[in-house]
Amino acid sequence: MSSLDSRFLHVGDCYGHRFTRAGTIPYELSRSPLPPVASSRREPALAITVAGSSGEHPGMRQHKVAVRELDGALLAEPAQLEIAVGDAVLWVPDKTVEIGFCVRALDGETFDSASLTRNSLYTHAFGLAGRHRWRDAHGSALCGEVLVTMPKRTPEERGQWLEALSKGTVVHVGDEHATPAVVEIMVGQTVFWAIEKAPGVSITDVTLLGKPDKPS
Amino acid sequence: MPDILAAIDETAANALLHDAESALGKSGASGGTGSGPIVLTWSASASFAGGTTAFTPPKIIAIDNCEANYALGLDLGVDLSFLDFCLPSVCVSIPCIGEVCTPEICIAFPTIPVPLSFSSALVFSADFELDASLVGGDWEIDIVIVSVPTLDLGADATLLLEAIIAAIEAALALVVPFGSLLATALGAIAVAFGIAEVEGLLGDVLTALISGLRFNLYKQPQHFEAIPGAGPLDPPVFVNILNLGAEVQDAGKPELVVSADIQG
Amino acid sequence: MSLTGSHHAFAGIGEHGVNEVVHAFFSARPRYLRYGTTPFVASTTVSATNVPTISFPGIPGGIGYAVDLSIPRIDLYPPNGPLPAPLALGADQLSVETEARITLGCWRGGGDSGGDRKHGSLTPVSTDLKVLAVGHPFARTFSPGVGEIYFEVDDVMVVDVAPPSLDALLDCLLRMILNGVLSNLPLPFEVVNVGFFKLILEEGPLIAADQIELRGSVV
Repeated sequence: MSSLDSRFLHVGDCYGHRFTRAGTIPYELSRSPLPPVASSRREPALAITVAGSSGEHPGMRQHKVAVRELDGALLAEPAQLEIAVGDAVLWVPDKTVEIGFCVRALDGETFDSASLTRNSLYTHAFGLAGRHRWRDAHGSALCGEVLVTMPKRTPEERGQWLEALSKGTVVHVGDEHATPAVVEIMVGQTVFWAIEKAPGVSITDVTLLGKPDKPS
Repeated sequence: MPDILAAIDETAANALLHDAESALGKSGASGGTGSGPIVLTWSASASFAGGTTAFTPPKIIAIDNCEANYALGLDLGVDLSFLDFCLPSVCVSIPCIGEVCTPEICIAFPTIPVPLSFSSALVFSADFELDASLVGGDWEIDIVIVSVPTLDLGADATLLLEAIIAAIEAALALVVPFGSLLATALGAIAVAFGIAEVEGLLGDVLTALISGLRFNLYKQPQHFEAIPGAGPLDPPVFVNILNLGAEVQDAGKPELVVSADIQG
Repeated sequence: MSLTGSHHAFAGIGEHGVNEVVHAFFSARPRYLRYGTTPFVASTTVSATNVPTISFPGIPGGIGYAVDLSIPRIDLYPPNGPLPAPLALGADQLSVETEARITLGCWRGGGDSGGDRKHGSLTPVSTDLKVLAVGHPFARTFSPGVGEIYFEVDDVMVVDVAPPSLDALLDCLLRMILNGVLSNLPLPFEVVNVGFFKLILEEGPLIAADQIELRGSVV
């Protein structure tokens, strides 16, 4: 069964967001694809503190937040992270995470891995060969296809495969279009969906949605 | 001359044998083995039915085509650590974000449990030896298997191997995320645990179930109630059975002959 | 020659075995050897059997008596020794030897017409008789695999009795008594094969070579 669904992050997935404004953004790790009820009050345990002035800042740094699961609870390490404006944060679940989750700012605006917007990034390492059609679970026209092939068993092609594992493929998402719409990779390789402009989309395998996909 | 002589021919012996098989019920055994990434423990039980007897003086009763109905419970542990691998870090350049790198993702595979049940029936022939003895106040006549015969396990081994592979494949599919790794796992398992290993396993199981196989043909107390009581005025009448023996004789017709003396 | 012959099962008990069973039976149930009216046997117990007196007009309470037998000894064909004429032991026959003590309860009293018993005394009068008999076995089957052998005497001779008319009377009396006793002595099939199998009797009981033989099949 396919696990391609940016709404629910598993091991082999990453979610990233580039922060362009200063401030402290509390966030949660949630198993619900929907935002929290506005009236719920909790002491935020997780936060990204962005220091500096807003605007374009070259020399982006990437920060990693590891997400793991302990006794059914999701933990982020580090729970509190200080970055500079223009830096990116990459949330990476490890193998202890058994049930998918999303990363969501408590303000409901800044970032939400279940509803991808500009400056966001979703990655998925493909473990199953085959044709993986995907589309936006939120109903936009955004869709695409990933063709995953098995490496050959000859020693030479196996070597090429191992080398190819370190190379990623980028799909650019903007205005309900994916470029390229169809990509071809080998089992084990990673596809990066870079959200350049979008109202809040997901990258979801059509087989998880239960509705016939739109013709491309 | 003994006080008592009782004899049956091979036809009558078949009836006694079948009664003895029913009376034996299920015999059980357990064990373990392993090959390559597979370690397994097993428990088995068998019941016996059918077969025909042939007498060979002085002590041998051959049983042909006895059916052993056996049930095998396997607990396999498949050690998948040989699949452990890491997806390397992948770096790309993304507009408006810059260079992004995913971390190395290492996947360690556990030992997965694969329980499996298998049952079948096997027909075998073997020689049994008469054993008459006084055990704890009872005279018993058993026939005891002389040695485990060569068993034709090919068909059962094939079926069992198919069942094992299917069970392992189903279990692996739940834990092995990448199709090529699944194929690699199955390939490695097939190399280490194939038809020869399964035949060896079945051989161990059936040898454990059949070796020492003993059917009881006769059991009576030495202090034998010849005539049961019939009220307070007529108490039971007992005799003692002495010197009970059993052997196969052939005076024109093979017979199992039981002899005994009695003492009032 | 095989034991089972044209059958599937054989059970045989030898002469010594038969006598061991007979001895065990009468040792456990001696009441089948001792019979008597009151006062010889007041009531039936394991040791003795109470029997009614012989009713006779003018003898209040009837005639009392007792019969005591020794444990019979069985001889299976062929005979161990000669039998007194006219007894003869043939194939499939057996002989029975026992001692019988017959006791009469003899009342003697004064001449009072009120009856002897009022003023008299009982004096047992006994005689010991040596009894020889020739008979045959027969079987009763109750269900497949369950049956018993019994013995029945056909001719009895009481040794050294005269005149011939008394001899004939006692022969007949002891034949009836012996058959009455033997009718209570079963020899189960299960004893003949010490419980090895349940025999469906198809042939026998036959007697040959000092052995009672049964043949048949098994349940």
